[in-house]
Amino acid sequence: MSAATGPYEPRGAARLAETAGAWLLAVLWILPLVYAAWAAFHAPEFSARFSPLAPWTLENFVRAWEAAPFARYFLNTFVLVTMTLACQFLLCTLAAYAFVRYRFVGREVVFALVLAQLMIMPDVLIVENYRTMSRLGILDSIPAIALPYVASAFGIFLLRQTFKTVPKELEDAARIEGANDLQILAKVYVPLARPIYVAYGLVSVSFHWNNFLWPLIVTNSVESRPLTVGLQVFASTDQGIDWSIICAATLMTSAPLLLGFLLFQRQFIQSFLRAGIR
Amino acid sequence: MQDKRVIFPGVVVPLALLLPQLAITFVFFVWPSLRSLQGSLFEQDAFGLSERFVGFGNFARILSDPGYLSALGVTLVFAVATTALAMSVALALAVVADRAVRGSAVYKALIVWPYAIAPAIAGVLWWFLFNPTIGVLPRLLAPLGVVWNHFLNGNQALLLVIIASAWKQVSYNFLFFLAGLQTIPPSLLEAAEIDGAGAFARFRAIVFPLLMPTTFFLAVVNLVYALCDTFAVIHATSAGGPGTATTTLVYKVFRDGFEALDLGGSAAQSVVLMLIVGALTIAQFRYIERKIHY
Repeated sequence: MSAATGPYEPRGAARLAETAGAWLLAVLWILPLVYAAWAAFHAPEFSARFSPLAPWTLENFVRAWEAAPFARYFLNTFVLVTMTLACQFLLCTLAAYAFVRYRFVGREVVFALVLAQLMIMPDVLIVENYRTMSRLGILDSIPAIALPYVASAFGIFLLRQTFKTVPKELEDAARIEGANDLQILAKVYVPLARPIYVAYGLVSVSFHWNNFLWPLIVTNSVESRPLTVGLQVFASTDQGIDWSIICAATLMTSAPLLLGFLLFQRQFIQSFLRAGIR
Repeated sequence: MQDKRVIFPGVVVPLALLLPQLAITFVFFVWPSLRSLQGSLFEQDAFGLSERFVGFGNFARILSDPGYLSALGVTLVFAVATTALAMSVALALAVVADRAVRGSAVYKALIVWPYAIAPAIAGVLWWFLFNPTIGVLPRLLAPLGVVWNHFLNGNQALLLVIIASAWKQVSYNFLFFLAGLQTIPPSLLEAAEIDGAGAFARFRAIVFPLLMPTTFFLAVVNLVYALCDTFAVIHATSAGGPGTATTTLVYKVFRDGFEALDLGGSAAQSVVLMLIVGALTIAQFRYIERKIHY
């Protein structure tokens, strides 16, 4: 991408107007966020009055933090996304390796099963999965939120595509050095697929940080509720909670991902583009 | 494709590698799918004590149930409007971003931010912004003669969930449109300009056709999103109401399965939904399969 303007681009005043328009549109689009930030950092009486002199305050954050067990919700969400991602990496790596490296009876059938899974949104199966969790006796626990997602068909599919491109020469070299199958996986395949792991990891973390329906159904206590469900419960429990506090809680719970998006912007964008589907 | 890799025969090692994944897939995908299929063919009482085979009775029942047909209609309007809104806004933003700010990093970060907000939380935000008593937007709309109350007015409630659902998805679409725009060779556009094509003609004759694959892909992603992933937004903004004005198919599966305890009907609805999403995903998968062989 060159910095010089191409001949097809607007020039002079037209260019200025277009640039201003572009920024205006972008600001308009994130206005709900800007507004939430305004309300969160100002006293409730300023939540609908915009005065440049309005004093800034952190009071809303303090009150939100005290009004609901957000520390616990943060911990739950953190445990949830870490556990989910670790299991996904392990299961998908092993499965993708099996599909690429081995020819066995029923390989095509099993792979077709993985592809079929790409087609089924877990949200459609909530009623049956709820019963399964109830039978397993793990309702209202963090593993119950994570389990249906850990055998990610999408992860297997992505890793299989990547493993297929690993040069045979590298593998032969490792074999001559005396590495066994699992060592080859760990020393040759996994390091070469690192960008795919990063891409998949970012997509998975942002999905599970924000996931709502399944956690809502399967949890009903503070000990297992993730942030999204906790905030929803907090925002809808009674009419008395004021808007400024809700905004503060909203910013607080979204802050890690907002910051993450800002810091790892390029990686996030690349992983969404590469991942193709969420 | 000719695979030059050393392929090992045998079943034990690959099976051991696949076992954990297969176990999860079986328990949480194969089994519940089969159970939904089976459940859709039986009628159960609310306590799950007895079952009676009714064949396609549940399907016939839901398809003649005005509540279900209304949900189907709501879903259709909702999915198409959300997709159209999210894609057209994203395309407009991507075009100006590509032309005027040359895809500046700060600009991209701004537009991508709503994607980091959980749908459930975005729903709460929009619910407050449009709240008839304390929200800012109804107060701005009042001088224009618009009385906003999505608690009473079903169309306004539907509009609210459409805006709230599209908001987040615009970020995602924007990235794909911008990436698509940046792969269009400038020489093509220059040539068209020399031939006397105006900005709009250039967009229509060159940019839009070249974006077609991206557009198709995004249309499918957005439709699947609107069908399946918007429960959180609806739950936080309108809870399916007023009445059933914003009750989409997924919302109805949740309501009938967990609130009304109509398990046979809920299972039949799940099966119908699976068929719709399955068809859309096959279309999408064809596209990815072609693209991903790099």
